[in-house]
Amino acid sequence: MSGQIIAAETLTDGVTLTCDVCVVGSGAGGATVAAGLCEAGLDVILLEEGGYHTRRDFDLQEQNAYPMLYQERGLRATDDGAITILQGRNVGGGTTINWTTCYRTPARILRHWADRYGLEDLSEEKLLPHFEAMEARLNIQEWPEELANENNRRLLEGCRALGYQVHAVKRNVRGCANSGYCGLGCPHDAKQGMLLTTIPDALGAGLRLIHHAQAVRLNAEGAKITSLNARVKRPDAQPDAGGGFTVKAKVFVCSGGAINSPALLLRSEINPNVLVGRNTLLHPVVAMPAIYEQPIEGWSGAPQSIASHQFVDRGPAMGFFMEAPPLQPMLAASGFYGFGKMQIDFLSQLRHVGVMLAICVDGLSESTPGGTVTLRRDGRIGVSYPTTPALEECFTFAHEILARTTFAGGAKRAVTLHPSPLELRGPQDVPSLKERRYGPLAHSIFTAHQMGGCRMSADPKDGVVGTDHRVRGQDNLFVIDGSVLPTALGVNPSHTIYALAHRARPLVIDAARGA
Amino acid sequence: MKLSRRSALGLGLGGLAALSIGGIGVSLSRTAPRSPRAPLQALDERQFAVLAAVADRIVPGDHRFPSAWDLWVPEKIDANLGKAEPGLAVELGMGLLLLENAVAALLLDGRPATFTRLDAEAQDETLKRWQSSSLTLRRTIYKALNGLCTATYWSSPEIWRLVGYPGPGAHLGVKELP
Repeated sequence: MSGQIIAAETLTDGVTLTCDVCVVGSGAGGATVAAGLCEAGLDVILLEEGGYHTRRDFDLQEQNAYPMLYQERGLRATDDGAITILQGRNVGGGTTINWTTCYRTPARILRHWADRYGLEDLSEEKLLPHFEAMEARLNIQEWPEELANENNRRLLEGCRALGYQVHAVKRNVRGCANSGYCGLGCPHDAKQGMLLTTIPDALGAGLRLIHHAQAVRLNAEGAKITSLNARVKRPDAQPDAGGGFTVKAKVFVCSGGAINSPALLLRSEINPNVLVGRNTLLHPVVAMPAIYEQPIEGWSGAPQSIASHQFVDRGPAMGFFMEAPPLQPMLAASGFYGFGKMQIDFLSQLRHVGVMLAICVDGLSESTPGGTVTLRRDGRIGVSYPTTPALEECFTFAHEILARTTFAGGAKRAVTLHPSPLELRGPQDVPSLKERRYGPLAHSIFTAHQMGGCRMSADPKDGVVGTDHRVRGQDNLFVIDGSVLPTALGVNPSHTIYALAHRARPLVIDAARGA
Repeated sequence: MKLSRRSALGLGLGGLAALSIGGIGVSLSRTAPRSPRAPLQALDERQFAVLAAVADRIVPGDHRFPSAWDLWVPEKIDANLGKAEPGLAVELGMGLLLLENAVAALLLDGRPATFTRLDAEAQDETLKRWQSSSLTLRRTIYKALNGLCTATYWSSPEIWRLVGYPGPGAHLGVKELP
C-alpha cells in the first residue's frame, strides 16, 4: 500500500479525517512509532507543523535554512531571551537538522531513573534490542577519528594533552561526504534521519503524512480522546492565514518534542498530576571561541565527531560534556554578545576560529530542576528557565575547563561570550574568568537538546505518562518523544528517543487494536 | 538570528506598551527618520528608524566590511518578522520604542534625547548600558536586537568572501561565489 504526502492547505477547510492512529510530530519519536504502526497494518495519519523539504530544497544558506527548518523561523528562545533554542520544525523534525551524534542512554542515567522514578522497564538489557534495531536502520556507526575536522581535532588534542577522557562519536550517516552542512539539511542525502528512513518506511506501508498542520487541541470525552483539531500553518504566512481540519482516531500519539507536546496537552486542558510542562530540561550550552594560528575552517567536515565525558559526572555538582559545533558564519556569530569593531575584528578571522562547547546536564538533582513550558495569553508557547546556584557554578567551572582545553588544543587567544568579552591570551589568564558573572543574560547560552515536560514515572501520582507512555487518566493518548525523559541524559538525546519510540510501537499497536 | 523577545520583558505586553509610548509627545517628532528601501512587513516607520540606527552600531562596518545598512539588515529583519508569529514583531517594536524613548532615558539615565538623535559614541554608550543593565527588561531587549542584527548581517552572502568562507557551492554543484 502506498501512502500520501499532503500539504494541509490543500485539504478542504473544515474536513474531518478518520484513521486508526493519529501521530502528532514527525521527528525521532513520531516517525519511528508511525513506521511501526503502518508496518503492522494500521491506518495512520502523521501531522507535522513544518514543511516537507527534500535535498533539492536545501540551498545550505543560513538565512534560508533557519526560517525554513527551525521552530519559530529560528527565533525560539526562553521567555527572557537568555537561552537560544535550536529546535527543528520540518518533516523529520530535529533529525533533519541535527548534527547526527548518536549515543545509547548511559547506564548511570537508566539506574537513576529506576531508583528515582521506578523505571526498571528501561534497563540496559531491556532497551538493548531497541537500540540495536535503530542502529541497524539508521546505520549508526562510529565516525573514524582520522576524519575529524580541524575544529573537532582541536578538542581531541586539547583533551589528550590534559589527560581528559575523549572519544570519537557515532553518527547516523551513510555515504557521508563530510560536507559540514548537517544543520542546514543534508545536501547529499547521507544523513539517515527520519526523512530518509522511517518516514519512507511508513509511506511505503500506507501512511498519510500531512505537513503544514499544527495540532491545536485534543478533545476528550471522559478518559477518551475523540478528536483532534488542527490548523494550517504555512511557514511563510501568518498563522491566521489558513483553515483547519479535524482528525478522528482510535488512538492519539503526541510526538511534538519537549516544548510542543506539553503545550498541546496544556491547550487541551490535560494535565495529570499538574506536571505537564514542568521539569523542562535543556542541556544548557556555553561556548568558548578561540583564534588558532592554523586555518580551522569549522564550516567544513562533520560538525560533531569528537566528545569528552571527563566532567559529565561530578558527583553532587552539575556535570557537563564537551563537543564541537559547525561554524558557518551566522551560527559562529550568533553567540557574540558584544558589538561594533570588536565583533568585526574577531569574526573577520572566521577561517581561524574554533569553538568548543560545554553541555550542562540538568535534572539530575533538586538543585537543577530545569524550566517550565507555559501558554502565553496570546496563545504562543512560553519557556521559562530560571537560574540556580548549581547551574551558575557549572557554567563557571565549564568555562574554565573549556579555556584550558582550548589552549591545550593550540589556541593563541580565546574570548568569552559576555557582553564585554574577556580576552584570554593563554592558560595563565584562565583564573580571570572567575571575575565574570555567569547565568542568564550574563553571557550567551544555547540549547539544541530539549527534554522533559511530560515526565515518565512508574508512580501514578508522579509523572505525566507511565512506563507504557500512556498519559495518566487517558485511555487512548500516548506521549512518545523527548518530553517523557525524566532527566537530561548527559549525551545527545536523539538515539534514546529512537529506542524508546521503537519500544513503544507494540504498546500503541495493542491499544489501537483493542480500541 | 536568535530573536530574544517575549514578555521577556518581565512586564508583559501591557507594561511594555505603556513604557514604550510614555513620553511619546516628547519623542515622537524627534526620531531621526530612515527611509526603508522596501515596503515594511512588520514594523512601522518609526520602529524601523530605531532598528536601522541600532543595526549600524551593532555592525558598523569599516574599511573592509560593509555596514549593516549597506547589507539591508533592517529591511531583512523586518521581512523575517513579517513571516513570524505576529506577537514577535509587536514585542520587538515596543522594545525599539522603549530604547528610543527620551523620557525614560531622561529618568533612568539623565539623557534627554531620543536614541536616533544621539551621535555614534553616545549610541554605543547607551547600548553598553543596556547590555549590562540591572533591569532585566533592558538586557533582554539588547540581546534581542544584538542577536537579530548580528545573525542577519553575518548570514549575508556578501560577507562570505570577506571572511574566507567559500560558501556551500561545492556541495550544490556550483563553482562561483555570489
